[in-house]
Amino acid sequence: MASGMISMKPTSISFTGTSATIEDSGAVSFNAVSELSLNGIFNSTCTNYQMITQNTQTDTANIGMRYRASGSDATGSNYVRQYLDFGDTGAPAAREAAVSYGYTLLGSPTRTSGMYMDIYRPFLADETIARSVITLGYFNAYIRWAVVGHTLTTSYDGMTLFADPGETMTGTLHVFGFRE
Amino acid sequence: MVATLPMLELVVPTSVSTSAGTASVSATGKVTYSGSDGLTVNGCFTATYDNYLIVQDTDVSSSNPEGLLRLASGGTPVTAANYSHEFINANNTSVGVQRDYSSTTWWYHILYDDDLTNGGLTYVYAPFLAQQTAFRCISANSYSNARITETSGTHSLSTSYDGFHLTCLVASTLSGSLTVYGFTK
Repeated sequence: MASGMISMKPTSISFTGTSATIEDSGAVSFNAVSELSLNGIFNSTCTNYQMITQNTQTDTANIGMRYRASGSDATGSNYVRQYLDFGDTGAPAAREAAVSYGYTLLGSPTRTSGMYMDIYRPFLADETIARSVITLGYFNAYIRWAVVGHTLTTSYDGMTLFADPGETMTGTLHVFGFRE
Repeated sequence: MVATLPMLELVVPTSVSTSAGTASVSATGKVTYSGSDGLTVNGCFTATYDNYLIVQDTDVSSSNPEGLLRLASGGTPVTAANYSHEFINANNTSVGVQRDYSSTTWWYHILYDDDLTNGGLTYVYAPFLAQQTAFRCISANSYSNARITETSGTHSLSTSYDGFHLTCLVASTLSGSLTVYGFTK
């Protein structure tokens, strides 16, 4: 019986900051980087993907994401992001349309945050949508759910994650493809 | 030394059917469908696994069709009023929750709008066992290009099912793909 998930080892990475390394397994470790770009993580082998991350960062802030193709980020205002937070007794939600990047984690300098992001059709020449389930170190315990829509019918083979200006992130991530 | 097993294994359904449009299953198990008004996936739940994951990316042909999920047995969807579900929607700043009892289907809300693809992970617990089945869907819903929906539910009969059926509450067709995985026991 075939294993259900395939490690999508990046063909290359680039970063701004102290260090980032592709492990033999396909995971990527990063230390004090403000920006991390993954190339070659989406291809025609799989339609849908899941990225798992854990990180800490130097201040409480969102980590942004952009898709990329052939080494260039998609920077147009074609992202729509919806979040739903659960913090203490509140559950605020909001949608932000026509923005130039999506959100992934909302990290914390004092506690580890974790996330899995399900990414649908990034390599197809079709719109892409992603869903995140995020465990936040913010206030020591915080839940975020998020959806990021991307309205261009473009094929992407990679993704860039970036911290707020002046901030850095440290952790690991691994992208898997759902075998089909 | 304990044997190392993959957590998820790809399942190959024995067949698929649709009353309109086209549907097929590849040799490796990928189900593709186009213009389907009701997709039945057969023989994907067996004694090999207790719990399953369905990974799905789908376009719909009309706005707000409401995605429906039913269990199936021998190619026939189960339509009696034994389904219950609880769902949550986050639509901009509005957050709504609702539970429905004794429904004739699960509303799983993976599908919503026709302007972007919809994606979702649906976990199905114990469908083949002669006990009550449960499910949970974590979806990326395309209403206004980004909407959060999450649904869980149960089916009250202690019956074994070998498949499932997807359709919409409002007339619409489905186009996309899905794969079914079993969690190793």
